[in-house]
Amino acid sequence: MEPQTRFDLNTAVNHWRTEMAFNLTAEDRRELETHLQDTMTELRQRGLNDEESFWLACHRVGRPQPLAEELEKANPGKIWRERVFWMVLAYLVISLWGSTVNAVINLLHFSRAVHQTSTTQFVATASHYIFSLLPVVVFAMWLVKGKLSLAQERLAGFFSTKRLIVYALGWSVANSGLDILFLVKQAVRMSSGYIILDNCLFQIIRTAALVAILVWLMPKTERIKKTA
Amino acid sequence: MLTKDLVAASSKPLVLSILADGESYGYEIIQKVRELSGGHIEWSDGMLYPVLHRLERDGLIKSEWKESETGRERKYYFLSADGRKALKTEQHQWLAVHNTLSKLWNLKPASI
Repeated sequence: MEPQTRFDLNTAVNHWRTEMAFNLTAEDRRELETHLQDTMTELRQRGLNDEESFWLACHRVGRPQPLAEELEKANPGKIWRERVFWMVLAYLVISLWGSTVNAVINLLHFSRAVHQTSTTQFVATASHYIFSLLPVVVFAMWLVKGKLSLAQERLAGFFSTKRLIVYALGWSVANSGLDILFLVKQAVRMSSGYIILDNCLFQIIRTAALVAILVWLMPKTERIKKTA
Repeated sequence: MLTKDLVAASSKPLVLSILADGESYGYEIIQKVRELSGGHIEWSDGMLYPVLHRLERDGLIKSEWKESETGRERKYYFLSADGRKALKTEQHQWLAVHNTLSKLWNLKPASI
């Protein structure tokens, strides 16, 4: 006899969440998920098992596409605002991370650069590309594992407040600090420091501009309170 | 069962009236409507949320995420000052329809 595949509620809910995430904003999906959970609780109390209550609850909540269309009519542009927010945030994180990698490799490379060979040059360039692409790889892995919506929820909790301004600007100032450190070490031999100072300034201005866009696009801050 | 048009038209006064009794969330609102109408008004669950979001966009209701006693976080809706005014208007309009039909059908008219 062929073994029956067991129904796993967590996997099923995760799959539902991912399917919904493509069409709805994070907040709308979360609201519908509490509805799904409430419905499942009710159906289980009526004697249905996990699998039956899950499918019936899904049916009651409805398909993502028509839901998304109705929600879009109720609040036009909301989903696009959120998509642009995530794209700008991803660009900001990747570019800041890239600058950090660049600065650290420059520093490490320079300290060993007295007897620079083509091998060390190659290692420096290769590690620069590998580490710079790390956030893209992490992002792709989340996507493949279907954990993107969960990760998005956690990241949203972390970034969807004004704290974002402090973190992003702090990060870019730290990057500039590393660059200046490199400049100080290098200045003994070279005098092309203006380029680096220019880069630092450009980086801080770019971060400030991106953060301003993000704050403008930021989803409404949610307060979580305990009911009395 | 109500027709689609009537469900759409009555959703606004129903939601506003339920929230006039105190804050509530989507699932509970649907349960209340089902219970009060004796099963005559059946909303498809997911379609209530666009209604709630439209009312919120129009400033008639407001929302807030809260943690319930069971630990589940829910988005609670409550009536705004504008919502109370809108509810009064709705009441007058629906009672005007109700009273006219009641007279035509020789039923007892209702009053606020």
